[in-house]
Amino acid sequence: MTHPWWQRGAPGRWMLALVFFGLASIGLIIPLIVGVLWSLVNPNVGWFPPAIVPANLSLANWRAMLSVPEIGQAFVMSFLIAPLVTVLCSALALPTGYALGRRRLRMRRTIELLVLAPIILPGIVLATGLGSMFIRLGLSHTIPGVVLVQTVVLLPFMIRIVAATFEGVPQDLIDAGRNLGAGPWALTRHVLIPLVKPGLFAGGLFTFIGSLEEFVLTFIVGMPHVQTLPVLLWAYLGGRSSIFTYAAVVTMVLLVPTILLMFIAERTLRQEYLAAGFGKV
Amino acid sequence: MARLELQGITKRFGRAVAVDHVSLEVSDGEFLTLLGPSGCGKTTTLRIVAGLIDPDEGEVLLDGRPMQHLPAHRRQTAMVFQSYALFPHMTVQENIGFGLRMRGMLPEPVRTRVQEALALVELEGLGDRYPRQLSGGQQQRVAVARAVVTRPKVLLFDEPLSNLDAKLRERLRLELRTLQQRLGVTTVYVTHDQAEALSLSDRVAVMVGGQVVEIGTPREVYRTPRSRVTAEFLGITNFLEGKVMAVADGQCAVQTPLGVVRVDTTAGIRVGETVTLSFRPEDVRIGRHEGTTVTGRVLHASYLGAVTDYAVESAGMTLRIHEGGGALRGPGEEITVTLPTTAAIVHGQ
Repeated sequence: MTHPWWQRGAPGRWMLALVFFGLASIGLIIPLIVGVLWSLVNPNVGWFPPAIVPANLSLANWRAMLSVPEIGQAFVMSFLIAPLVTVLCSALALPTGYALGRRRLRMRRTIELLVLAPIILPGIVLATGLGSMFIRLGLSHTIPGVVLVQTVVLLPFMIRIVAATFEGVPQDLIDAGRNLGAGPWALTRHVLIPLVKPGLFAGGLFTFIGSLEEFVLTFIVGMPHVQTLPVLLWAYLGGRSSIFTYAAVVTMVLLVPTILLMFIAERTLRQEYLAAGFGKV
Repeated sequence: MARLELQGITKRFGRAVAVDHVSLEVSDGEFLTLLGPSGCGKTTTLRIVAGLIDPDEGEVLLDGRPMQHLPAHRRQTAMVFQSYALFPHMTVQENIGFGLRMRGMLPEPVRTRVQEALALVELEGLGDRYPRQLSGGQQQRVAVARAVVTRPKVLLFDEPLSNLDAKLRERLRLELRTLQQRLGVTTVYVTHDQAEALSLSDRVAVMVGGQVVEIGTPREVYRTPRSRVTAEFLGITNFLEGKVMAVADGQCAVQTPLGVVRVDTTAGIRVGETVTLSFRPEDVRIGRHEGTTVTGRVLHASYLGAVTDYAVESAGMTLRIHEGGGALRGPGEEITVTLPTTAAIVHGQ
């Protein structure tokens, strides 16, 4: 049997790796570099075509932005809301995920559809509806309000991931736990939760980053008192005339902790997955 | 003391009846095997004993006391799963100690008992490994250690050796039997492997279609099966149908397509009835010996090492014969065959 060129020996594979790396660079790394460059543009000189790199770099934008008290507040707000949303989503997704993943429910498809409804609806439709409801409930402009509204849109993803993980837990392990004397509570604590931890981790990470990035609902429910980094970013990018340079600084402020978090989580996650590897059967 | 009793256990899944009025008794320290083809309800029966499945009808009793109201985690049964079901997030020690911790035992005695259990299955020094770092045979031993460490009243095995290669399976079979006898624990073992069932058990219960069709010692069920399915399931056999001509002197004469065959059974046999005889291939001999002789022609011979497996045609029937050693006979050869008087008389389809 003949293999196509990309499977033939080391050179082929290297070529393939290079192509993928090239695509990843164009898609991910180049925009990042452009962002970094924009944040470093000297406002007095600017950056105009055809210059590929700004003619003059300075930290003026960083100084200007970091001296704005709003950015510090927004930073604290974002990183206060994100963990709250993550914890709330995890707590809600665990039982729902269990029910969807392990129980034979008669209305399973319908329930799944209902769970996914918030992400099927366009964000702006959801935002106007929920926005007016939240005003009536007195939750507008409050942190609990923003946490709740973000939970509404982020929970579906979390439930999907957790349910899939629950589905993957072999029934034999649960039976073995029961057979060895674990009651419902001990079984959950010592067998089920450790086994779905990788899914919970992945879902939690997804939710955390989703919360940091969420804009539409946070803007409508939270403004003007609760201002997260994306809302601030929008203010600079689109609210007034586009100030690319400031927006780039806000982006970096949002991006660097996220990347760090991803990095840490990925390391932890890999160990978790290793531990969850099932033996030879 | 632990005597296990099943009384009229029935379980339906939708319209299908998985277990159909199964009644069994396993005495203290006995090793009973449920043997049957896949889908015969043997695993379901085992899970009902463990409390992992609730029966629709019937009762499981331990030492005469009903267990139906006890949830799975309160029954003192320990199960070894086909997949071993070792917790992947726990080390070998933690896996083995799990049952003890669940019973509220303190860390120090747990450690001692776990070490004892590891020694019992000859896995000392592997306590800190994770299941995935062990070979299949080692994982199997951990599963056994995890089950026996809690000193259960009843040990349950669900095809525990079926994921191992043939040689290892044979060795672990021996070890399992030794261990069970040493611990003297009442055991129910589920398998579809007849060799496993015959070599391990005190008694074998043959299950077909959710029912126990026959129960007896390995020798009884193999040598003198009472039903055709049992004879068929426990290895290769030759069936011969015929009419009973005479019963006298502890023997009966049966008129078959191969002529009159004499058999050493008379119990419950009446003259004139139609019976089926079952001969094991290793009991049918080539040449003229004590018994009924017929002539035949070799259709087919396959050399299996310890024995040669012949298919011999005689009076339009095909007989299977296993001959140890001896000369290899080629297809087409005319031979004389002796049917032994030790044939079993079986009933049913």
